[in-house]
Amino acid sequence: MAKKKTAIKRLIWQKPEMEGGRQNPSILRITARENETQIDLGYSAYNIYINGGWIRIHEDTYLHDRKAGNHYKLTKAEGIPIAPEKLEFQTKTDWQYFSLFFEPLPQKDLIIDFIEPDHSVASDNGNNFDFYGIKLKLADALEEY
Amino acid sequence: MGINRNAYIRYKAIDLRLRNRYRPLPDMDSLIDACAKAIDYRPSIETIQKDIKMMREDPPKGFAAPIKFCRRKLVYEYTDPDFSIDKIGLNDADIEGIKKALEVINSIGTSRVSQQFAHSMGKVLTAYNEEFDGSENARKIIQTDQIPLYRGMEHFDILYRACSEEIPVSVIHYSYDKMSFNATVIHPRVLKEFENRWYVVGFSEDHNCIRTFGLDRLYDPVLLKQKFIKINQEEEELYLKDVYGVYPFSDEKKQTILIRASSLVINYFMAYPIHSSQKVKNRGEYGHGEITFDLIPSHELIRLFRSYGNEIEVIQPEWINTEIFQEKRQWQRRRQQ
Repeated sequence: MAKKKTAIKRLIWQKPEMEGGRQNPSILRITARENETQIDLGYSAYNIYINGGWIRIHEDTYLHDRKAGNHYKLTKAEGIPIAPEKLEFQTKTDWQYFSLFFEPLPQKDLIIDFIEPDHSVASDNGNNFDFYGIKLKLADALEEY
Repeated sequence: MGINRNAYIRYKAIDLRLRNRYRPLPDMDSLIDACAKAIDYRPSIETIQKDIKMMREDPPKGFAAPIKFCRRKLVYEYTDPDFSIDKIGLNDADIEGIKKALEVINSIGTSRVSQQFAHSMGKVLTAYNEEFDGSENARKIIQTDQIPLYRGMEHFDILYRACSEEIPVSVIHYSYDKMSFNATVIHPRVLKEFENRWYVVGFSEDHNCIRTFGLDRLYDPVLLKQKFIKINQEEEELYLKDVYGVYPFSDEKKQTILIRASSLVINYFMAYPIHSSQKVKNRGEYGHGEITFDLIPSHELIRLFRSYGNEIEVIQPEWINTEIFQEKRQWQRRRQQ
């Protein structure tokens, strides 16, 4: 007898707990769908940079499943350009909401790292968007309507 | 034609039953059965008799339905077999009425109401071979504040659905004040417009109380499959009715606010009262006087008072006067920075 296929739910984690990484941008929400994983982030421009500076994301950015060791590639970015393009801020008080899309994650309890490799764009000078030990427990997830 | 929804459903059921060619000449019981299926309860004989009477009335009260009662067989029928209340069209007055309403809405700007509404009304008029002239050349008779499409209006439809169907929403919120992002779940109750800006009011899980969120500060609302948290009715009414504006001070209660105002300001307030509790009293010889409001103090109220400069003095509560000066000083400080 064929095994009954469990329906994949669209799960949401708001402000997921994590071990460390950047405070700005901050990970606001992670949505796990059957065909993709969406990570929504918010960035407030720093006042140490001229006119608030700039942001971008490298195309090699990936999610790393700590237990299984699998990598999930970035597939699309909305609201932030892919390097070497930049989003230049106009003022030190600007902000940007953006979403990054990755290959779908398996629907089980996970601990993942969000890595923007720093070897790729030297001029980013270590200011990569990295987040470590993001806890995605199924029990903590909300379900999309 | 002032018809409540249940009555209209009954009229439709009676109409459908009378037009059933396979089971012609229904008696009263058959009409009651037909209505019961449509409205989930059994209406009385008197209700159906009243419905038939109303359907027979001429428009605009009724449908001029040619319903005949056969006393011998105790059955009902349409004397015109082609009649149906569905075929009652909009008359010229109806169409003019809709066009006027559309003009008002169009002048307000579809950006301020759901675009779906404009499409829907367009369809209604098209169905009646009428067109709503929204072209640039059409002369506008009504002029209101024209505001361009602004950030956040794209969320109107989803938030409207969340309010009407009581569905919690996950939202990303940017605070202009704190200059930071937050993700929260709102259990939205109403969409509210104030000074050309739209807000959603509802229970915020993060704040654990009723809150207002400007649509312009929200990103990516997502409907959630979870239990809807209803706000206490009394608390909701207080929050919505006894506030001028949208952001009441969270630690303040409804109270009497007393201001002393010049005749100029008194005239404005008398012409355009800002709240139903507003009362003008102690008018002086030169038209100056006092105004009281029973309100929860809000940021918008303070902003309004401030806009009148020296023409207004807040007598009670005193802290509002202090707040007015503090805000002014903060703004001046920010500008200097």
